[in-house]
Parts: sequence; structure tokens; C-alpha cells
Amino acid sequence: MKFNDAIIGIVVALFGAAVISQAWYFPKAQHIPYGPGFLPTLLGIGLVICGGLLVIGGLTHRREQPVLALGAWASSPRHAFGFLLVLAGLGFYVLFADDIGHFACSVIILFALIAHLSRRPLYALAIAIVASVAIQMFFVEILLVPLPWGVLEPYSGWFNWR
Amino acid sequence: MVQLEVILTALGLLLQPYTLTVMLAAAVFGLFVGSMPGLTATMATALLVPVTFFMEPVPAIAAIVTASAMAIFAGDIPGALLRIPGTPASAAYTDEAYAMTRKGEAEMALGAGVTTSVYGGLFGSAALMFAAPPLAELALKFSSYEYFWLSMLGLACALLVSPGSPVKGAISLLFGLLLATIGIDPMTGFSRFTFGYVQLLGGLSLVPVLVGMYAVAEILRYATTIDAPATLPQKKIGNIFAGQWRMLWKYRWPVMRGNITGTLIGALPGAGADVAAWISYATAKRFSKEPEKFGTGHVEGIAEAGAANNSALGGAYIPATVFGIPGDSITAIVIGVLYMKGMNPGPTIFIRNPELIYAVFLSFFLANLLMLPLGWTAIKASKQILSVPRHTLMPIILMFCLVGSFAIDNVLFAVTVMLIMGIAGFLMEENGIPIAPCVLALVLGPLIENNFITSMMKAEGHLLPFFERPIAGALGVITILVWLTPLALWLWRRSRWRAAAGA
Repeated sequence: MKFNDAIIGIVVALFGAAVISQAWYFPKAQHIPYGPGFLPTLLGIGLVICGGLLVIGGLTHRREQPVLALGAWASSPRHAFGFLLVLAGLGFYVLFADDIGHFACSVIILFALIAHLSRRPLYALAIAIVASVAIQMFFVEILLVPLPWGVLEPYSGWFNWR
Repeated sequence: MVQLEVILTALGLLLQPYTLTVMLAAAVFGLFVGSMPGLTATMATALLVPVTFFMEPVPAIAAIVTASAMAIFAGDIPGALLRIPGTPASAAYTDEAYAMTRKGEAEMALGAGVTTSVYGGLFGSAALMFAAPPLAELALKFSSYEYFWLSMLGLACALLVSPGSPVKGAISLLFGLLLATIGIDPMTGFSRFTFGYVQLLGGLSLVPVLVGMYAVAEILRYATTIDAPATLPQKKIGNIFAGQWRMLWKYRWPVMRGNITGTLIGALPGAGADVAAWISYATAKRFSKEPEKFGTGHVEGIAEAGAANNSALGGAYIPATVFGIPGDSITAIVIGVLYMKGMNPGPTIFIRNPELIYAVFLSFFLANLLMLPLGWTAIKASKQILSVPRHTLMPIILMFCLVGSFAIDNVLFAVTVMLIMGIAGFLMEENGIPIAPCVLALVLGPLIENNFITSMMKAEGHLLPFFERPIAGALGVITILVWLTPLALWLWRRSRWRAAAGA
């Protein structure tokens, strides 16, 4: 997913400008001219300058560099799907971990990813369950991380071997 | 002068059964991660942090030291066998090592990887042990001016050694500094860029950011990789230690040069093992008696660069422990861990907890000695390690990332941060924007800002006091010169290019 430098430059410069406009409203310090907004403003200016330099560079090389070179994977549905699946898995976890619990999320995400990458659903299911139990044991029982249980709360005792 | 008493206490802290078990487990983990192409030493460190979170300071840091040292060495294994560097630190001599394997000298290439890694690692550890305390003595006299310049110097070096376009390096740096400003401003208590999220008031947690940028981004890259995996050569690996003494003796000067270059480059804030390996490989070729043999499977460059990348690891801990300024991206993480453990890096740690810091130093020696037998085992088992299916490994690593990020603060918000940083890291790498400057800036950001504001308050808004103290003045001048170097280089190239175009 390689963009032309001019596109990155514009994004970076706009981001810098947004930072400056935010920092503008930060309160001023009492005795010195360097308040909480000083460093962000400076960084914003830096980003605008760097973005501008990239735009100039990208425009001069626009013949060699396309606006967006997607890479071979984007035209291969399998790989594009794999990319989205990783992101979707993480998003799914953030949205549902509190409700259905870490363990269920872990099995679902591992199964989906391994099944897609290895193309062997049964193998994926077995690995997903074994790995989820192992991770649960290691982090919850040994390292005592309070991973959410969600609706599986009543069954949490199954893993409690102490 | 260090008292023997302190060293003995430190040794006692290190030689606990618990600590030794942790180190052994970390070693196996580091060897595995290092020898898997695509999983780097920095990633091994980032993934270890959530686990070390629950340990005492000494085993926690010893685990990181061991895992990273092993990973840097293990990167040589797939380099020699598959022509894919296991970590970026081995990239400099991967072609050379693979050429040796094709000539039937895989044992020599892998053996040189182990022996020079151990030698370089021990040299770096010794340098750390002897250089850090006197530097700490000096650093006790430092005020906010010196710290400001030192952290600026760290940023400058990070930019100077970043590969590719300096503008893109600068963008990464600015982005990292900006991420560091998130949260409550320590001077006024005003909350910056938190957008109403309470979880951001304390600033971004380092672990989700690092795990996102290094691990999640790598998994995304794996998911989008079209190339078929490389196949292992079927030949059995013989005795890797045969002829190593002769090799080390024959190339004693290049290897020593690698040790010294590696330690110095490691100690330079911002530059780490990968830069050390590239530079050492280049100097090996430059000063070799038989430079024509380089690239055809000649062990000299591997020996010098193999020593350099492991000595860089020890070197990087010099500024990290003495000033709290990371020498590379691994120590950037270590500094975060030190703070979490209440072992705030800086000269005072040498006075307040000398036994802890010496235990860390001693763990370097132990880790490098462990590398000899464990490295041998890893090479013997390389066929099994390299045939672990990536399609199963990568999703499991993703799950580790998830739980690891969650475990630092026990909030799901951290997973969101990790996801965003993973996408950011993926897009940055795809577009030639290096990640290392961003991570270093994230660690250095608060140091720079706080020391700048403190200095400014002391100086009542004047700039001159930044140069009035002798060390501060010298550091300031050096920093400004390093900052101007990329610009000067660019202008010089441009003028040459103009001249060439005009002629």
C-alpha cells in the first residue's frame, strides 16, 4: 500500500496543521512563553514543513511514482481478506471481549485466522482450542491477568486448578 | 570504585533458581523468535514486557537481556540456511553466510555466528560494566541543561542513522514526539490530546504502542505476503565448532575492531545492532587483505559484523542505565520496564541500588555464556524450528499481543491503541517511513520537554545558559552539528548533482 510521496506529504501537513490548531487553544504558562502548547505547536510546524517537502518531492517524481501502488496482495482476494481478517479480529476483540469473554473471543479469532491462512478448518479448530487454553492457563493462572470472562463467568472455575 | 561486596550481592541476586529458570526460558524464547524470519529482537523484547511485568526487577531485566542477546545471534541461522535474515541485525552479512552454505561451509558460517556473538557479547558486557559507573559519576553533576542536550543528541543520532529519506525519518520522529505529548502536561496539569478519554490522561502506555508497531504490523505484513516460503537445504549440519579457534585467531584484529565499533555504535543513542553490523561489515571489507573474496562466501566479514551486532547490545545499555537515554529500540523498551520496576534509570541508581544494576550487568555475562551451549542446540534444532508453520504461529502471536497489551493496565482500551498503532506501523513501513525514530522519540519526548521547560525557568527565558556550563556547552555544540549533518550532506550531494548535470 505505497502512496505517492505527495499524498503522504499532504496527509502529514494536514495532520500538522490540525495539531497546531488544537495546540492554539491550550492555556498559556504563567511566567515563561513556553506553555503546554509550545512543543505541540513546534512539532506541528515541523510536520507541515516535512509534509511540504514530501509534496514537492512527490510531484517532481510523479511520473515514476503512481498515486497509490497497492502491492500484489491487494489484487489477490485471499491476501486482501487475510489483511482485513487480522484487523477485524482485533476489532472484534475490542467490541466483544467484555460481553462474551476473552476465552470465547480467543477461540473464534484463532480459528478464523488459522483456518484462513492454513486452509484446514479442522486443524484450525483444534489449534484454536489448545492455544486458547494454554494462553488462558499462562496469563490467568500463572500471571494473574484479570482477563474478562463475560457470559462464560459461571464456567471460569473450569480453569482454576488451584 | 566498585566494592566487591556489591558485586557479590549482585551475583547472589542473579544466581537464584527462579532467576536462572526465567533466563533459560527467555533464552529459548529469544532463540526461537530470532530464528523466525520476520520476528525481530525488538519484537521479542516487546512481547516479553507483559510477562516480566509480574516479576522482580532483576529477573525481569535479565529475561530481556537474555532474550535479546539470543535473538540477535539466532538471526544468523536462517540467514545462513535460507538467505533470509532472522532479525535486521543479521541482514548485513546474510548473503555472505548463504554463499558459504552453498560452498558447503554452513558449519563455519554458523559456528562463526555463535563464537563471535559470544565474544562480542562478552566484550560489550565488559565495556558496560567498566564504562557505566564512571560515566554515572560524571552524570551526577548533570543538570537539566545537559539532559536536554543529551536527549536532543539522541534524537539527532536516531535521525542520522535512519535508513532512507531523512524527511521521512523526521516525520517518524515528530510523530513519536507528538505521541509523547498525549496526557497531562506535568507543568500545568492541562490534558493534551486526550479527546475526553480518561485512559489517555496518564499518557500512552508504551507496551501497546510497541507491540502494535512491531508485532501487529509484522503480522499484517505476513498476512499480505505473496511469496512462497523458502525451503530448507536437506543437508545435516556437522560440528559447528570445528576450526573456530583458528578462525578467531586469524581474524583477531577484525573481530576486535567489530567489538569496539559495535560497543560504540550501540552506546550512541539511537543506533543499534543493525547499524553496527552494516558498518562493521563495510570496515571489514575496506581493511581486509583479501577484499575480493567478500561476497563469495568469506568468513571475515561475518566474524567482524557478528561480533559487532552482539557487542552493540551491551553498549546500548550504557546511555540507557546512566542517563535514561535509549541506545537503541530495545533499550527504549528496557527504560520503560526500569521505570515500571521503580529502578528509575539515571546516575542515582548506581548509588541507591548498585546491587540491582550490577545484577543486570552480570546477567549480560551469564546470557552470553549461555549462548554457547544454547546456540549450538538451536543450530542443531534449526530444521525443526524453521519448519514450524507460520500460518499457525502468527495468529497465536497475535493473541499474545492482545493479552500482553491488555495485561499492562487491564483495560481493553490498550487493545484499541495496539490496533491503531499496528495499522500506523504497517502503513509507515510500507511507505518507507522508519519506525525506530518514532519509538525513540516516544521515550525521549517527555525528557526533552521537561528538561527544556525546567531549564527555561531557571534561565528565565534566556537561551545563553544552555551553553554556559562546560559540558552542556560541548554537548550543545555537538548536538547542533549532528543535527546539521543531514542537511549538509544533502546540500553537498545536491551541489555535486548540479555540477554533474551542468557538465
